[in-house]
Amino acid sequence: MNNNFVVGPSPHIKSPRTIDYIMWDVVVALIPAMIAATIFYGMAAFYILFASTFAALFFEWVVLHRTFKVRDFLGDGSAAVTGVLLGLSLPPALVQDGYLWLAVLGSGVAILIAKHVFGGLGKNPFNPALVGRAFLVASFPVMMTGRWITTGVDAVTSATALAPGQVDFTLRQLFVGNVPGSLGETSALAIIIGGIYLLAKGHIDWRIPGGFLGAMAVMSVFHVGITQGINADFLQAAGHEVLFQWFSGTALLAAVYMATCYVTSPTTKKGRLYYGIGCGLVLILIRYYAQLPEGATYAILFMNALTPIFDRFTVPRTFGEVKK
Amino acid sequence: MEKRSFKGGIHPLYNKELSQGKAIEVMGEPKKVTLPLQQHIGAPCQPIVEKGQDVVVGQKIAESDKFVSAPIHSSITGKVVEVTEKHIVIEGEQNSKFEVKNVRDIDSLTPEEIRSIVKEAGLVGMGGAAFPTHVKLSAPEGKKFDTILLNGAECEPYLTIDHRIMIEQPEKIVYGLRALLKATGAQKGYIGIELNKPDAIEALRKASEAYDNIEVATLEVKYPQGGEKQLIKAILDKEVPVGGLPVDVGALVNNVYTAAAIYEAIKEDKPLFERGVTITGKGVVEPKNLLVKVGTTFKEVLEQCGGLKENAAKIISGGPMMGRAVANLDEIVTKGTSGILVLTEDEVELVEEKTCIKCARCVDACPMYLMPNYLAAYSRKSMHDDAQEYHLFNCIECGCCSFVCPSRIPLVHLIRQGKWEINSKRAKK
Repeated sequence: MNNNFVVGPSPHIKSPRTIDYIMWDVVVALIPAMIAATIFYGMAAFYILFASTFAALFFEWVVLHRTFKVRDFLGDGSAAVTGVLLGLSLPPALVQDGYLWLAVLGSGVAILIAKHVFGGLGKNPFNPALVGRAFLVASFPVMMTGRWITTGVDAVTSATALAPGQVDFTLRQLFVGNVPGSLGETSALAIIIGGIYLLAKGHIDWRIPGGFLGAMAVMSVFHVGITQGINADFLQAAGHEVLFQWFSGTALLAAVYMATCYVTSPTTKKGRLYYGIGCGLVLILIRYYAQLPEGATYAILFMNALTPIFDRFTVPRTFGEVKK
Repeated sequence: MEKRSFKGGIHPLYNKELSQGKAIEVMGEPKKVTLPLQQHIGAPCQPIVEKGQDVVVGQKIAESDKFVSAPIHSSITGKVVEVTEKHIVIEGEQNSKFEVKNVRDIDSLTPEEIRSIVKEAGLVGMGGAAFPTHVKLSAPEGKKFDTILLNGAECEPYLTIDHRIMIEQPEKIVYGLRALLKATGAQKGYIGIELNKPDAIEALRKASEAYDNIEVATLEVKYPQGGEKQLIKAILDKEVPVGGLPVDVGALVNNVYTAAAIYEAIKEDKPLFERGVTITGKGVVEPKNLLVKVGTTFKEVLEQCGGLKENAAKIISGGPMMGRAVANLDEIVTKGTSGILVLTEDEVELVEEKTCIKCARCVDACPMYLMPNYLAAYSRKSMHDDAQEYHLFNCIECGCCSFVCPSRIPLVHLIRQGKWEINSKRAKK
């Protein structure tokens, strides 16, 4: 018998879920949204997603790796998640208008500045995909928010459901995704499928999307109550408003995939719930009271900044501790 | 069935099927045993035999006048060949069977007598920590025991020895529990068993039928369900206060195997010199549950199981979650050795540690409601005050945090080091 054994601290077994596994699983969870985008916007979706994802992987590789091996190139999957998410948040009109390079630029900002300037995975205070997106919206507002195309038919300019004065899309259209919008935010159905997958596999905590969407719902009901008073149609109108707020724009995509970003959300359970509620509140305030597109982007980035404070003030009661 | 539990914890792969179906076998007699003078937490023993002296199996060979200590008995009949500060070596014949007598019963004993029998028999907690049992049985001034809990959860993956003793000798366990009830004056006894051992639940229910004050509590299958504080929380729904002991909530927790040993000590006057050990893992040719004499080397024990496979890479004394990796097979089976686990090359993960991604899996898994991410970071930077503010010393070192960490940060190891640093700083003062 050989007499040379590995020693090391306990535990001697580990969960098979490494960073790589989790990140690639998040990419898997994004597949329904990617498929929906491709169904509704055709090849434009494919080009944009490919450009943003490939660029994200490329920039990650530039920073982290020296030799060009396929495995190395794909990295731990976090760059892929960033790339796909950024791509999903871009308007499909970029392709027609010849601004595909914006996808590459956004990924560059996300990976190089938002992520690696701060020290790489785990150290960035703000969600890289959202920083990339915020950068694009601030720098190229016309391309990013001015032109939307209706689904299926190319070259028809339209506005998103949230644009002021826009005719109502039916909830059914919003739910399935048959409306103009960014690639990934268009289909609530696809996002919900991905979200259920993430919840079932234990990759995300219900507290963040729950707090997020819950706060939005409560605020929407209040808003309806204040603006039209409590009348016979109140319940129906409030219900419609809640679903409209959830299914339109980036809210759902943000609640499921962006706000739940591990690195930039709190680590305590209570902190996660408060953070989710905060995201929903800020988003709805922006939607109702500010003349600003991108409510979800700014809401989450704002809450990212508060994450350390949530962690600091929501330290859980330890086992056997009597709260004073 | 009812599913009592606690918050947090993890669900590792249990891998119990390797040895679960194997009845406890008596291991062949070792020619030589090495008995360490310190086999438990507490004061080491002093030898009371000399080199060259003949000893018989079960004879006391070392003891201590300190309270927190348990005497040591020879596990074979033979001659003392070596006495050092660390251990006593005995060499003997191949046949040294302890004669089982039926000497007494609990009904004829006072609580003090039971406690002194437990002490004289050298009993320690056999779940792994090996704390002297008689010390646990004495409630501190002004406190008393209401409830005795027997831990039959056996939540460590791979280990099956407690499971085997429960289905093979349930009467002994119930008897031991009755002895504990009498020795402490407690009113009620529970035997906590995880739901993945239905045959053990059945056996102990049957064995305890006649006693109204004994109940089998069925537990959710989860690690660390058998942790002392988690077991109390699950069964009694009480939390042991921070820095406190189970007695603070009127409870006393003992392992089921210890209860069986109490039976042997009382009824058969048999001291603790042998114990059941699970020998398992994909690196062992034939996994088994063996009755092993204390003082036997791992090498000999493994030979009884057909030896190691080619790809054996890591030997663990105890279970995979809290056991200790040993460097070689000269390691000795002691009173606290519940298992010998052999992991193979592909099960031993040597990956580099990555940055924390703040996924909070450790926070969600911690059964003590701690924040292992912060505790480990503060410990690593020797920020002792911050670590203590986050209740560093409430960590039970179960390893759930390290198990779930996707960045492979050795969280519990760092926390342990932090505790150690603080303790040694205190000791210097």
